[in-house]
Amino acid sequence: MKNKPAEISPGQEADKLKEIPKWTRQYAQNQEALPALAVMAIISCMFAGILIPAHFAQAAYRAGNLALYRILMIVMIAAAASLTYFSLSGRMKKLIKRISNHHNNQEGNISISSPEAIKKKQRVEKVSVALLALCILCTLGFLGTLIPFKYFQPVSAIYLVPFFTFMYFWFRPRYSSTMLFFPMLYAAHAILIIMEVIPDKLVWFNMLSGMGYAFLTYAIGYLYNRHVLKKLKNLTHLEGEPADGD
Amino acid sequence: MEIDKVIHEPARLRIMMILQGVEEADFNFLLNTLGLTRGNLSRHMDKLESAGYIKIKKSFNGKLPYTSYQIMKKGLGALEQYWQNLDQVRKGSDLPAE
Repeated sequence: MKNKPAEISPGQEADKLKEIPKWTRQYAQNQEALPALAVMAIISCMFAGILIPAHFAQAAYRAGNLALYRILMIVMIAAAASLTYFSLSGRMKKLIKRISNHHNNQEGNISISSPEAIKKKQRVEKVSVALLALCILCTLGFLGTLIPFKYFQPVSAIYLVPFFTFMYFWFRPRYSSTMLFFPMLYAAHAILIIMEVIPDKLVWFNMLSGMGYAFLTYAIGYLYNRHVLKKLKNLTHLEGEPADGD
Repeated sequence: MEIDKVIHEPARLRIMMILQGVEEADFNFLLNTLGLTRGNLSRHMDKLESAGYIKIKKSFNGKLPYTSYQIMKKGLGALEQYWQNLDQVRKGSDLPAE
């Protein structure tokens, strides 16, 4: 026997239903968090593949173990080459698409902005990314000379924080406000370095903080996305739907 | 004052509310969120399309067919009118009986 379909009763039920568009938008804004999180995890592993051998190669060189030093250098170069190939060959894009497709097959896909609106905004995005790349190249070029290693993070914060804040507002409402965690955390880290709260010894930690904060931001975005989906299903899930759709 | 029967059905009202919040939603998303059967969801979408409230877009994602839905201006207007009418009914039912 089929259950009687739920009637839209006046009062609380109607008020709850009016919240559906708000939660749907929030789900859409965090939909890209999982593919981004997967890519961040892969890039982090590749960076670890460069930095860990580099660290031990340095120790092996100091200890005079040249055989081990050479092996570790080969591992490091292979990891750096694979990171470059992965980033430039379009494999990264393909991987993001595969993860997104898998996710979409399971949960479906919604978009908050029209493709035309995104296309218009992408021109400004391309110029901003080019400027950002120029800033990064300049910073790396002057690193160790004009820019001491310990100030790499605060100097990069000067352009990274405005860039990510601008991108969030430029593409609004495409991305969730959880995306603002990254510039906030990165700026806070820079301030702590300038105030000398974070010790000079943690140079690598400071230089890689961006990756850690990006990972954290996407992780928060993904967890929030799960919460929103649960909320949305509670509001929309129907039990005992009549078979003829009426 | 008449309540729009196309929208008043619980599943269709929820579909319209989901589509109101976004640019477009695909079949899988609605299926997963609403917990309907494929056949039932298709029938609801056809009814909403016949009323001119939504637009159905059929395309391919690689080799797989892909169906997405978009709410139309007429649908947005009908939804707004529906809530206005329903709120009036609610207000009326709140009045003490004479």
